[in-house]
Amino acid sequence: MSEHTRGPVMLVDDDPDLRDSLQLVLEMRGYEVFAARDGEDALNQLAKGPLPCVVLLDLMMPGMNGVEFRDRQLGDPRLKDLPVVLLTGAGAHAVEPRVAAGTVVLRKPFDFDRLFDLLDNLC
Amino acid sequence: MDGRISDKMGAGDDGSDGTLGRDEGVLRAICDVSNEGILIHDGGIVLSCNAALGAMFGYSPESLTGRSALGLVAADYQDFVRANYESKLPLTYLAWGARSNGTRFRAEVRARTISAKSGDLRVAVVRDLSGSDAAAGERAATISLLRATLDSTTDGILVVDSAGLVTLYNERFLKLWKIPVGKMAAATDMDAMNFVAQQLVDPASFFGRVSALYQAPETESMDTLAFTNGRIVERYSRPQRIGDRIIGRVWSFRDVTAQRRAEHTLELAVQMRDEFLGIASHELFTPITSLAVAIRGLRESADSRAGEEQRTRLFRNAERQVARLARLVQELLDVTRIDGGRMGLDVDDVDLCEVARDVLERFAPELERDGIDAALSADQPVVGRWDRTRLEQVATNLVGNAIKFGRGRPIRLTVSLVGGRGELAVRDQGIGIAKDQQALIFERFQRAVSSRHFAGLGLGLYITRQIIEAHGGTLGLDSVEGEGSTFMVRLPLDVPGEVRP
Repeated sequence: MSEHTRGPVMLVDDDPDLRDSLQLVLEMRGYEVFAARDGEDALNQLAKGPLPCVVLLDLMMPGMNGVEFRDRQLGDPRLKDLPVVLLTGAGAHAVEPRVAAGTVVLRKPFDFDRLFDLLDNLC
Repeated sequence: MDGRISDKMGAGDDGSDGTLGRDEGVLRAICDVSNEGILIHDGGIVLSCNAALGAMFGYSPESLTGRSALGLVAADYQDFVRANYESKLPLTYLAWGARSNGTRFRAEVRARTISAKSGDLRVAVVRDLSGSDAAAGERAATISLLRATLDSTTDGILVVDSAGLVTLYNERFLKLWKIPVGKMAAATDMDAMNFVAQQLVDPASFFGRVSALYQAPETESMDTLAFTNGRIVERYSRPQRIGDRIIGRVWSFRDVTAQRRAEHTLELAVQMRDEFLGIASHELFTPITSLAVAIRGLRESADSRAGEEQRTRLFRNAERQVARLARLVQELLDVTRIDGGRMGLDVDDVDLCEVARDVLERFAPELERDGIDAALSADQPVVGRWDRTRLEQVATNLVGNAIKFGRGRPIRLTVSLVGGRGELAVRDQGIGIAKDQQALIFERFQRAVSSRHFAGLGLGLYITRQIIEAHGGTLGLDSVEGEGSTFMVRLPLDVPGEVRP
């Protein structure tokens, strides 16, 4: 197991397999990963723990979805400037401007090089 | 012509009246080629007639000479015609002619008095009008055709004249608007409209449009009328013209309720299909994304210091995504099979407890990972003649739903033998299903909760129910919103129609 020298990165996705695989990939690249199953889980972890350098946020989730998370995040002075990468199956055009503003939208299945570039710059 | 005319007329060979004598041949020739019957008589006694007249009445011209002209007149017209014999005036009258075969025909007679040496003679030119009767017959046929067309069309039709008086309507019109037959006698269009307007959802707009049409008699228009009882009727209106003159207005009404409903159903089906395609592509993309991430991870693990444990996890993840994709495609295939009525069952001795146990075991990693407590209670084997693979699919769907909608709370499976039937109950304590949604969830592409929040094609319960019904069984649901759901599968021990070996 490699040492986590970069990050941390917060990964919010309801799909356990995707969460697990992406966490492994990022860890192999040396990132520390906070994994959350939905918006509520993510907010809880953010409230208690250290802030990540970026949030990878799925939009469609049961429980608190990505849109609600984003609304809550923007309303919280401590969290509002956290960089967010939106992971969506629908593409940028389907994301409300209010939600997409200030974020990077990555369409699933991802372009890994783009994702890794973004993380290199942010963390 | 008969030679005696000239004797009587005195235009003989002696040439005493030279002019007439010279012209007689010409006159005869004219009489012979005329299509009209020509008859010369003296006080009613026929002196001469032409071939056309003979043919008209069915006699040879010669045989009529010396007979009473009244013999050519229908009995009830003889008095009238006799009175005309006395007149010296040029007369034109209509009478009924009597043919030699006893039939009668309508005739127009033009009579003139001519002077001859021996005194005045009367010339009658007779025209057979029965040809014109044919025209009248044609008119009657046209009217009856119009009437029959009006009565057989499915449109309700009302014709009013420029003054607004009802000219014509058909039975369908009365039925469409539920107008009692007596109501239309001597009615005006306003009477009719006042009667019908109360049946409309928006009578004011109907009156508005109608009165606008009266302001512009040349306008053609179309409107859709919504009835209070839910029917939809299309109204067409166009002016009735003779030449360029507008003499009234034709209104036609067509009940398009069934058509509109069919269109609406079709629209919904298309909408549902599009929505489904959206969900399906999203559902297919999700495992593809996971699979792509796992494969990327495996590639990177080769040149990183990743351990065996990480690699194994990535392989398992990749395998699960392949299984997920296969399951999605299988669901799509199943729906196609069910819709085509081609879901065959491969029946064998199957223990329902074993099926439930196996399925639960297959979910073990997922249950463990999510920390869900799931257990099976079964006292005894419940063996029936069922399709094992299909029942596994049923149990997989129901347990999968219990996990998906169960909010991480305990899940209980119970297998029992009740009243000679195998029962499998799957109970969760999750979000439950609202009463008004409970009937819907077994339909195709339906889901009680928004597709934005929960994964899946929305086909699972539909397929599940179809499989159970193919076994002759039932799928029951007991659910309280916010408290959880219990799905109850009841299966007869034998598939109907299958003979136990």
